[in-house]
Amino acid sequence: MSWELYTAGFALFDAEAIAFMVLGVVLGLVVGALPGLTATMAVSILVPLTYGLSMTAAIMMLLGVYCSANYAGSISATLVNIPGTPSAVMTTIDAYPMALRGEAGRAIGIATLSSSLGGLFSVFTLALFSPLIAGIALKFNSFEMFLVAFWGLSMMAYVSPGSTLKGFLSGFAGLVIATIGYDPITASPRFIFDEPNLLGGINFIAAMIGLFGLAEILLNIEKPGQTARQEIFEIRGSLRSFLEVIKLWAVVLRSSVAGVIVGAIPGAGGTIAAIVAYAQQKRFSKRPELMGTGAPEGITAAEASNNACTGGAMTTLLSLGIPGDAVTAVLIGAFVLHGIQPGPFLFQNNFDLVSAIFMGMVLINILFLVFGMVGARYLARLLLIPRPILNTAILVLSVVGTYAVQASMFDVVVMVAFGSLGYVMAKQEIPRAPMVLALILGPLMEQNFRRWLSLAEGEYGLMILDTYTRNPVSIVLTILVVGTVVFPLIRGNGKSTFKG
Amino acid sequence: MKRDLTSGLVAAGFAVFVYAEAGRFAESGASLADNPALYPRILAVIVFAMGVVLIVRAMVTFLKVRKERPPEEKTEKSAGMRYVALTVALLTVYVGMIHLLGFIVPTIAFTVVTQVSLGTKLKTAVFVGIPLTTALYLLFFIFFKVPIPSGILFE
Repeated sequence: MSWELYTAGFALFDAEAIAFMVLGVVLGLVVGALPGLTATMAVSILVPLTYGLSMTAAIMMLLGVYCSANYAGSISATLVNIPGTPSAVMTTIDAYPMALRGEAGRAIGIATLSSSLGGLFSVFTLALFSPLIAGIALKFNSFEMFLVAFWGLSMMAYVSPGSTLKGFLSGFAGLVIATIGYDPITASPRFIFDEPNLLGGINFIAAMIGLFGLAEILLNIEKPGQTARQEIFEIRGSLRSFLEVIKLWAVVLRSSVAGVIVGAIPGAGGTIAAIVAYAQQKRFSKRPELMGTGAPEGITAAEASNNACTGGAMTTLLSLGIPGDAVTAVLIGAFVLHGIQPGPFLFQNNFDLVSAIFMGMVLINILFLVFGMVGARYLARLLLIPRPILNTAILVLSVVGTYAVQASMFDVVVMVAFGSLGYVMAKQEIPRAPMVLALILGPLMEQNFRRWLSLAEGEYGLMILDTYTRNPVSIVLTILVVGTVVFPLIRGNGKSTFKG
Repeated sequence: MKRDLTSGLVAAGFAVFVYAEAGRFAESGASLADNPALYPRILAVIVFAMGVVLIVRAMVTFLKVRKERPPEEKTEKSAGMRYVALTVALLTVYVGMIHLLGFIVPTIAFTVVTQVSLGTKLKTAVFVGIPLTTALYLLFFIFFKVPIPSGILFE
């Protein structure tokens, strides 16, 4: 593979892939700039739209949405003090006070360049580390693959906002739902209730659109009044802030490293990365008292880290098949829709696509830098779109998009059911991301677990002994899984450290 | 506290249902690996245990709160919930109508009625609803060539 991994992707970059990548960046900027619309929701709704596209065009478009929405959350964070996406929550602390001083352009300029640099840094770490991790993962046996998937699920349950116990409950309920349909070993139908549409299992794209798209809109409808303010700040002087960010190179680097590490932890995501990087910057800052009053280093720390998260999240997705955050969990759906399973084998069977992803992410980070600088003042106008119109449009798009995947009205019913379930889960403070991850990883976990059981040929004790004595990887993975499950219990309160 | 209790009861009930339902396809003589009910039943037991922990946690909190005699908790019924219920109802009717009448007419009706129910003026709703339906029709059914649902009344 070697250098070919970094050049083979050129062949996949046709006009279609580039056009849809640009479209994805623009859509991501729009979604990110609008409070209440998240990158997860946008990507889940757009997955069916990619059905008719080539694999590269589809992935480029969704990556474009993912990366640029992460950045564009800073626009409304700066202008109206409402983070456009949850990961921009720490950006509001310094960007809004700066905008109130009449320096909205400066704040947006700092946020844009910091985001782009953080994103670019993360792509280089992705390109460097993901092949190494994939190389190790290729040697995993079925039990170790089961443990990796289980660890990913446990981490997502652990770091999800709110109660860890409810995170696990969401994950395990998702694993149960994932067993609907034909049994992977004996092909016996399970939990189908005489409904032939359930034989192939729950269509997880419909479930994803419901849990993240429809549920989010229902939550928006419940909270009216998030519409735009009448006042839009003058956005000038964005370009002048470039030098300012260059001088803050150490902040960019530090925050990007934090972002990549947090991003690689399954379930952590940009919000946690921004919180960690902001706190870290406060410790390193020579004038910490200025942070929170419109300090450029605060904006840089928050934005570089939440965008660096994308590369970290993609590292575990590509190399292990375990998504780093909710958006990459949804991205797995897009890969599977196009007949590709993310994970170590991706580097053997589709290394040209992996290469294209590296290149695409570099281009995307440059594209949103340009579009963000030029278009911030126009994106700000989006804040004036009345919320009822936007919500209705997304509702219809969710219905049509779900139908389009398999031309199935049954899938639409599934989407509405999961949307309602997602809404109820949100009201009960049960995180939805572990359930989506479980729906995706469930079949993989069950297959590997039962394959391992069948290899034992009834001698389960000997099999366990053999597994742990032959390979230290199983021991390490078991420690990780047990640690993730037991740590919250030892702490006693069953609550996650990070609350969303 | 109430949330923990509700979640716990639903989880425990769900787990019992899954465990019992798995009996319909369990293969008694099969090895562990070949029994299709084994894996769902393991999961059901775990979900049940988590449900019980949530119920116990809710009850312990309830007893603690009662001991400390805090002011009674008042639940405020959100007006927004009505909008949510209405939207889900409209969505359900919309999905049913697509099945009967096909894509175009129910989509225009849904977009207009939903916007109006959420506070948009009728004129604006119509002005948005028709182009939105047209755009989606062109995108999915013409550009992406997805087979359009024609509705059983028009088949």
